[in-house]
Amino acid sequence: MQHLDEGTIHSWLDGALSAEEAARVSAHVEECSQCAAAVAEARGFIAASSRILTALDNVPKGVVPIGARAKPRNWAAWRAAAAVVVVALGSFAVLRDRIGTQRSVSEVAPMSARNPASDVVADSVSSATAQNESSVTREAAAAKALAKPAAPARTANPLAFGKIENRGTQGRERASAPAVISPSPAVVADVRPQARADNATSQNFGAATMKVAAEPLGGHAAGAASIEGASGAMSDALAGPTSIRVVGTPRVIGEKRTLYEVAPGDTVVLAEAMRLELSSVVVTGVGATRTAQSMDTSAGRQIKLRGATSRPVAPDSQRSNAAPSPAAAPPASSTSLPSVQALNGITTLTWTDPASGNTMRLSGRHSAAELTEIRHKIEQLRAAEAAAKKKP
Amino acid sequence: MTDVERLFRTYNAALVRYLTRRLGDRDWAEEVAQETFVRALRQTSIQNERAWLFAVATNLVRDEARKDMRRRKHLALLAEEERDAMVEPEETTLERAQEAAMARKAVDALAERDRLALLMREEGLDYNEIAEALELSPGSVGTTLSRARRRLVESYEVLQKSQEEREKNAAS
Repeated sequence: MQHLDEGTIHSWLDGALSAEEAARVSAHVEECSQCAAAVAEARGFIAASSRILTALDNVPKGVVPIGARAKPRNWAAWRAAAAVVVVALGSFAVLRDRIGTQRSVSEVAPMSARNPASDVVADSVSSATAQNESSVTREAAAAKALAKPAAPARTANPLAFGKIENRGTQGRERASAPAVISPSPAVVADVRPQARADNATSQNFGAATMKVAAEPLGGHAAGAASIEGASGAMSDALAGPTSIRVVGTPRVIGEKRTLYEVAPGDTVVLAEAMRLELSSVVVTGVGATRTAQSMDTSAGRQIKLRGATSRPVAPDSQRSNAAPSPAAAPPASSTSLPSVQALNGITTLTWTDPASGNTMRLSGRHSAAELTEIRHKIEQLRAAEAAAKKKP
Repeated sequence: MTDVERLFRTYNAALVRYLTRRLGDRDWAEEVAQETFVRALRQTSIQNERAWLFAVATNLVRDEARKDMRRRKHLALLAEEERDAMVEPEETTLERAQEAAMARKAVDALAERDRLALLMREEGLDYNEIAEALELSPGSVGTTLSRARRRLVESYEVLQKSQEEREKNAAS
């Protein structure tokens, strides 16, 4: 038999020869060292070319500018958006019909056991509840939405009927917050609060009791969801943690970076320097106490409190020992004031996280005010995550 | 599940990878792959699905495809789903980016037919399918592939050597 040609060897190694041909080649290779060497070489070529082709898949990442990725990839965001649309459209529809009525409709329609939209709303509202549990006097304001998606929420264009009553606030508000995460641009929830004398003292803390009920097309009873939440405003609860999600954690030495998507295709970067800040070293007493406190208080509350009027107060024993000087307090509070830097259209917000003492940098193509808002949301999200981690 | 959905789920990943490697552009590759499935919709029967899909995709790359927006949207949705299920590749290091660039060069240096045959083989097409997709005789596929592999590896090695030379010079 003649020596094998390269094409035949490759065909043989690729299993493309008939059984007879393969047997003949195999027999020849065992006898002929020259062809055995050629087979070895061919194996090498096959493996190497395969490896080279695989290298083609390493399309470089991280060269796309922030915000340029237009494709939303997380259905949770869309589900949340769908839920917001449900509530907003519902409230709009009903309020237009029934201005001034005080009837509390509580038709709770059965919903499918796994209605993603309701799940997301439930998640966001309950996490908001956790954060606000011990916050303020609440007045029961109600947002009741009865939603009936025409299809699964992901693709749905849900028809919704709902009712929102917000007692205790005065005047007329236009809550456009849902539009922030809504895929359709013009969703405006019209909230017409009914000012009542007996509720006039309740300030602006419109707690939200929400009942979201959805009925699948078939109308089979499978469950019902009743969500009771308390938060600053309904829109806050909805546009809160769910509107932000982590889309990546690029690894950088000495820093923990997290990419958050605040809206589809719109991302910001949160960089957390993993080292102690000078301020928390200098202000030993207060710094230590604050850190210790943040360990045992719920992270959510800690962040809620930070920057507000209430500052964690050291227990008496510690205060007298560690921080006798009143001058120690101002630097501690100044750490929570963010500094703003703008470069090439990217704004960077820098502050010190009082809980960890780490320097936080938040950057994105946003205004400082928007970033502050985003920072607030990220902190809520982180707090919720931290709280979730703590609970087994 | 419609037939095109089945086709999509079975072959999309391989087809997109093939096209990405062929074109060096993932978005473009996905576009062409979707157009391929749209074409498949119009077929009453396809004998060898995989060969047909790869042949059509290959031809579409040659002549820019007309677009069918409505169907494309549905397929884009399916692609979205699939991508959600996929695991993100690791972070690209400089070294890996260099490897990718050299691989790109080496692949681009191949003759068109050799390149296509090799890329199809990598996606698991057998010799008959490759022959059908590229309109070759089945007997010549082995020769084509052996030539393609040898040339690819050789030109990659040349690139690698010159890269090493450059690094050595830069270091000294």
